[in-house]
Amino acid sequence: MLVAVTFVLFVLAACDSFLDSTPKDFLSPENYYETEEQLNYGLNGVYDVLGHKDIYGDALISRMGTEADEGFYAVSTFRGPQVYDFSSSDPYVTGLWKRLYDGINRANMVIEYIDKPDMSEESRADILGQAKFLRAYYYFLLVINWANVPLITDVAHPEENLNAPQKSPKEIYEFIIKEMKEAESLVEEASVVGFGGRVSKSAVQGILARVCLHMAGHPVNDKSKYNDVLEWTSKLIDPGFHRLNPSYEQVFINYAEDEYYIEESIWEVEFWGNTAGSFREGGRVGVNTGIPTTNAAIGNSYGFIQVTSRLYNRYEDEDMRRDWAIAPWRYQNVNGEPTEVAWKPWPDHSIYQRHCGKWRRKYERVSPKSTNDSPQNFPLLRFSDVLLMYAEAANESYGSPTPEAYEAINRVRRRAYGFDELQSNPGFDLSGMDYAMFQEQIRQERSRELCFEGLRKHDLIRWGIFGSMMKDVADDFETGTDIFNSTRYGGLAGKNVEEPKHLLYPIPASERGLKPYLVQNPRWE
Amino acid sequence: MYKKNTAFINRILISYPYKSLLIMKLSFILSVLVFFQVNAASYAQKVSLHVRSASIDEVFYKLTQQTGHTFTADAELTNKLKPISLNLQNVDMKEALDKCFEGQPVRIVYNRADKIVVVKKADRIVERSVQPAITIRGKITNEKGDPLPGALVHVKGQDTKAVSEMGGNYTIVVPDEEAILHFSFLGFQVQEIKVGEKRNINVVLKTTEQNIDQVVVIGYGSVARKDLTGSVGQADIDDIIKAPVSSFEEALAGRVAGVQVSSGDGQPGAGVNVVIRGASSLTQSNSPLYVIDGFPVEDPTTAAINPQDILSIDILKDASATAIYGSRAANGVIIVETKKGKPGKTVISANASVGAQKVTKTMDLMDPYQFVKMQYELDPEITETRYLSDRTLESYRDERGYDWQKEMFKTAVMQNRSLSVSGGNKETSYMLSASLFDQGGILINSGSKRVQGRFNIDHNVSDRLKIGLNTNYGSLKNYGRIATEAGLSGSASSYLLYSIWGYRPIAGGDFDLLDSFLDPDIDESNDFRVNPLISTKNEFIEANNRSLSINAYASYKITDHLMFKASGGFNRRDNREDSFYNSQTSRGTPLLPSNTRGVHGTISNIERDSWLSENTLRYNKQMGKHLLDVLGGITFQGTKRNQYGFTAIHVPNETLGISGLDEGTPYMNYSQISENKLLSFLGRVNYNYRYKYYLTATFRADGSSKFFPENRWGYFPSAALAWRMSREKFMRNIGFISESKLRLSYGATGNNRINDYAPYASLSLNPPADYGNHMLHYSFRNQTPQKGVIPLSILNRDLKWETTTQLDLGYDLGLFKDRIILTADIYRKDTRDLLLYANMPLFTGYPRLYRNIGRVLNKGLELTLNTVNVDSQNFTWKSNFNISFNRNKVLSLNGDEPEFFNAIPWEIVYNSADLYQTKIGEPLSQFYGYVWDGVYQYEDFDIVDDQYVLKEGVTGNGTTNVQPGDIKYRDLDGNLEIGDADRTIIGNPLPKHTGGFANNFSYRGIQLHLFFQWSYGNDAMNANRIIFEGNALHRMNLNQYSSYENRWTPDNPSNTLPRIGGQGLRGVYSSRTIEDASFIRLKTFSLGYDIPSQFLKRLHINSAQVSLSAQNLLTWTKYSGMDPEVSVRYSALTQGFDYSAYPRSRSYTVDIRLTF
Repeated sequence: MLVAVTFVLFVLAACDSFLDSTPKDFLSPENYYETEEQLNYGLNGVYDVLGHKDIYGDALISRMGTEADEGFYAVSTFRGPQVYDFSSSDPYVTGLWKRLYDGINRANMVIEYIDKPDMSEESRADILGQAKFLRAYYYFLLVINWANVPLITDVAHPEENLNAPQKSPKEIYEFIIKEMKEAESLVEEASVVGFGGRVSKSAVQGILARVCLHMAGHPVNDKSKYNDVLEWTSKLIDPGFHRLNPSYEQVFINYAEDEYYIEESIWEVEFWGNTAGSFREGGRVGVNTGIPTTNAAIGNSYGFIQVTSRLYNRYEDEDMRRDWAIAPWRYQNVNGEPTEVAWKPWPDHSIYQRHCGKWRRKYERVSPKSTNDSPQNFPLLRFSDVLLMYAEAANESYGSPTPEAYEAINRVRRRAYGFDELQSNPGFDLSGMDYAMFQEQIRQERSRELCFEGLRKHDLIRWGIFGSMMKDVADDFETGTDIFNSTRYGGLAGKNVEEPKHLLYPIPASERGLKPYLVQNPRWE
Repeated sequence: MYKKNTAFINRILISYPYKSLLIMKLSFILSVLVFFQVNAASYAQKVSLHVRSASIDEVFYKLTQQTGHTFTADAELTNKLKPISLNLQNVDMKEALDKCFEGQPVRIVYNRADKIVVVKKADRIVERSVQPAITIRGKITNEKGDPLPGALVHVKGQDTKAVSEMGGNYTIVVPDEEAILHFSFLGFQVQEIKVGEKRNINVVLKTTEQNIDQVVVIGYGSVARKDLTGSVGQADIDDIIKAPVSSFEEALAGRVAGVQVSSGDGQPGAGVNVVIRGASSLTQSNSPLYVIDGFPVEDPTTAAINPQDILSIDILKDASATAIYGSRAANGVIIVETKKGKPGKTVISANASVGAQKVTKTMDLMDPYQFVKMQYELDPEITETRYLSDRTLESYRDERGYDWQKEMFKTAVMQNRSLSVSGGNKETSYMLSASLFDQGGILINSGSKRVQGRFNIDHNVSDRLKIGLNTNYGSLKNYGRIATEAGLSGSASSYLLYSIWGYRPIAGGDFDLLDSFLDPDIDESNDFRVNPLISTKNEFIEANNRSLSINAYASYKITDHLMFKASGGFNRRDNREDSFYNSQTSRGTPLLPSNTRGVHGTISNIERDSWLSENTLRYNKQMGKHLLDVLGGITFQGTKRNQYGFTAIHVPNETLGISGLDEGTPYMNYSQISENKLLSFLGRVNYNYRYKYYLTATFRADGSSKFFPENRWGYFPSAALAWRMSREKFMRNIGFISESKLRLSYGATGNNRINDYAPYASLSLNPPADYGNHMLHYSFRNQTPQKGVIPLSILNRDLKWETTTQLDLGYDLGLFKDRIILTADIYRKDTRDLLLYANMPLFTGYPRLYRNIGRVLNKGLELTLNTVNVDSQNFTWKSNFNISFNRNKVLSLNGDEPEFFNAIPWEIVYNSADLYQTKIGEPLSQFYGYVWDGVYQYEDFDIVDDQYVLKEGVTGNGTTNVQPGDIKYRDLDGNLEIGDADRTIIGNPLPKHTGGFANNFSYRGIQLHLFFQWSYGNDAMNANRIIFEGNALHRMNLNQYSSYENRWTPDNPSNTLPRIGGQGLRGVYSSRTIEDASFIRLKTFSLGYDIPSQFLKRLHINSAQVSLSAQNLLTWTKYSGMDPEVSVRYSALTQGFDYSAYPRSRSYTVDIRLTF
């Protein structure tokens, strides 16, 4: 017996190595990230999240973040985040949460292995800076949408990460700012990068300004951050590299034509191709939000977003942005050909029928056009936003508009009316306003300039006027006399909004199912 | 039937006539040569002995194993014996003994009560010389009247013997009229007839049945059923091959208690799901381990084996039986042994069958009148212009319209041919077989085809060394559109059955829908139906599976009690799938905007190489009343999987088909290699005392390369006890009890069905579907997108074996000489450390990881009843009834997770709607959704400003403007609105019990086999009704089931079907479409006739049988869909879902079997 046992143990020891296996099926982190190229592949994975359909690839450009006072979701599905009627298991909400954390995890990997390859320190810094910035940006999207979220910053402690607690919005903001500041010192100048698709120093500075602006508003309300906004925006404004595209509409035609203009369009999500090849890197810019047509030559568009008269009426007739942002015509078949037929000015009921016109597929150069995928990039930071952030922060910081604040907002307005951006225009330029007037002017101007770019909802929230604004919108639909009855359903989003419930998304139900310690956001229990 | 006559220990023989011939010869020789003093005892038991240079002890051991008797012999006798070499097949126990002691004067004393046989030295040879008084003549025949030459006649209590001649005639002389004639013949029941005044006695001998000596294959050996300690089910292979199906698994449903076999739908070549004693793994495979001719495979291509080649199927169910396969046995083990050649005359048997298949059921669809009426309700304006511009609704009553089901469902031909040659001599035996199976699909352009060949050879090199080889090659082709597969859009409208059912019965205009690829009135941007006829005809989808297995063994007898066996094998499977979609197919047409790939095709290959080396040492010895059988072994197994393929899109020259792919744009190239190895030590002790008390102890240690070294080894012990009460004194006196055995077993088995590299941290450039099929790229500066690499999983060094412990209590009862045999088992199967592909908190960035989490309990009861109901001269009726009850309960899940949900991807709107809930304390995967509460009626509303407004206190249905005729759900949380909190469990896809009832009738040469199979208490989600009985997607021009004619209208206040447009919330499930999918099916019907041998002799045919079989003949069910046995997205967590299932076929076949 003893012999047998000894024999078995002997064989066992000898054979154990028989069972050793080396994975042949995939890459393992231990033997990857060996070269700069491999590190860059990792970084591409972090960028990839931006274009995912749960983020800017679909959800964030038409269904979520756009549901404010500018337009309404014109497809009569009566449930979903676009009308504030959804549950904590909503797939879009869950998807957004999931993808953002995917991106964070991917960035964590790149950051973990950043020192592994032999490479130039400049390139290493650039990669690290981009990874850190993107991770911080994903946390920014998390904090404005969920407030209290788990903060995972490295991959070294998987068990701790598995039970990561929620951090307060303040802590998350502080982390974001710390990381972005670090990134700012690492990444390349915009002039060196040369196009809006890759994170540049300017992109970091501008987004830092946006982060600080949000931190200064609801819910953290750290007013001292307005000063930081001034600091970061100044870094963009003062050197003079950044300026507005002389033509407002050209900004958007550029996206369709796959042209860059980094002076204004500082950071964009890149979409590519028409799915005809082996890549599916197209987005839904112009497909979801466009002027509807099924014509393949023009480019199929569903036109999910129709506008409110509230937005329309914010513009003066001379404001050239109006008829670009709000399509003044629609496609109608004339002699069998889709033709741009003007919406008649009368009855002005038709305003609610109009579509968001910022992204027009007819300008796309990629051919043939794919039905559901467009190559148009989506702006994440434009210089006009930077100027308006500066103006707003100055007014808030000093209690009244400063000359620089006037100049900033006027640059935006001048371009909109066809004037030279930098040429002061006394009869036209704003001046002589008090704090409140200027504040209101900024709030309107941001809408006029940046409508449908996924910023409005969170602007309203940080200003603390989201609920009341949505009530007003609901009233417009309900009692407005300039609206067809058949369009009144568009007020559903406004009608459904409850505060504080809809200031935040719910922590996904599946997440709380797995981790019941996660505290749900108010009224989502 | 001749086949049935074969005693079970003798089932190696190909068919009766061959056997009969052999036996006749053997028996004749025996009878002529052997003259011994004969004890008066009867030796009805048949035995087989194949020994070389064996000691008498060994022969006795073998006889003991086969008969359950105890044998002893005088020492003086045994000492005189030379080593015994015998090759006896199915002979009388006594004759076997006679052979052993040939030339020795022996007297055999048989104590029937104690089942003890003592061979003594004869005191003297009695030389009686009794003057013959009476001469008896007669003829001995079998039941069909064929003469039986070589049958033995002897006078009871005397030495006088006679043997029948070739014509069956005999002559014997008896001393007086009191004499009793004893007629015996191998394989037949003994008859005794008192002479009396008769002088001419013709005897019809009836065949014997000897279930009791059934041999059960238990893994690394076999035991007699009566000596079994564990729970092992055995399929009656004779019955199974009566079903005209391509793989044995298909015919296994309902045959064995505790074995649940179901198929997702009727697609030819589609796999079946086999679950033994309930599912214990939530996310991993629950299919059993298959051991085919000794080669363990987890996912075999069972269709590569010709069912006709199978000798036996044994199903190991409890831990005691399965533990010898330790690591992978937690889901049970199915052991398949194939037929081997036998020494003797060469036997050729041929079998040809041809048949026709038809769809079992089609759906009733709306006719043109009903359709146009419905269109009018949907949109009067469009309907006026499209259908009613120049004719009235009434005029559609005479219109016949298109019958798309008739166009698509065809009568299909089924053919099966097989030929086998077997034979051998004392040293070498062999078998060669080949078969061809061709099953057309009942849907056009689909079907399945198999070409298969087998060769095996066994050779005795010496008395001690034996070697053998067994090879099988099968080439299997399945072709045709997979009905349950969505198109690229993922929309419900891209499925095949959607097009068949939904296509309009009438176009409304002048054009012919049959000839045009698209319906011009359909909005192709959100409805992807195409002309199913044109598309299906143009699709090229083919799966070729080639599988080769080679097994060899060598066994060497070291001493008379110790045997070493080395066996090994190689198994290669190539699975190649080709598809090509030209512009006339739903996936390839450029007319649908969802088809971003244009004309495209894919070639994909999976190559699997698996090798095995097994080395066992076996010791067995009878020591007085103790019988000991010890087995020890070490086995190595390795499996390598290599997967590669590519897709080409926008293929310019579609006429070239698959060979034109090289001209297209490369789309997705992939290749993957993975490998796993397993090293195992195994041991088993079988011990019994006086064939009364049995003990089996098994231990297996498995090391798997799938785990890290510290968790690599799993240890799986088991023990079983059995007590044959029938051999106790107190029972021996109860005459009608022939067997009574109590069995108890407990043990552990394992499961390692995870990816080969599951515990490793991994990165990927090409992530799987969990990542949304989003190819990882990012384009900078409008350049060609660059690759992205992302983390897929984290290191989990702690990952280890999943362990199932099982307790089984069984009882075997045989009554009236085993005319009634009852087997009952209760079990409790407890699975811990589940290898769960567990949901991870999304904030970790990993959606799912393999972890050892959760616990699932299965409890159940299994009953099997074998009875011989009628057993008369010409007519017999035997039946097998089995029923299984299994209760499943989830005891714990992932950490703090109290429940989780699963959705079914079948239609975009429903993809994220939870349909299944798996919750602690409940069975896994319960249907989950809203409770359907009928339809809103007028009385639920107040009229406000000419509008119907819900009365206060009447709950809404989640939509904004509820109207009379809308669907109504139950408000469970009482907030008068329908929300997530109103969802609850609405059905259970798991059956309460399943079973089968097989009946074999035989009347002279006619046999009738009737087999019923059932499943009771399981629900199914008939998602077809969501689309086709309520038009939930609200599509124009979409035909509906004619049952939707009874929808709510102001004149027809139906409470069962909502009005048009009243389907309520989209993307939710309710109990409205949950149906009871219980069924009982007359699954196999077979009527056979043995052509009498006198007609065959001239043709040199030994036997011939003609039979008529039918499969799926009748089904009784309340289920409204095409077939209640349906599960199109089958997994343990997603059972019983029905959408666009391939219809099931009813087949009729004529079959001829010949042996030469």
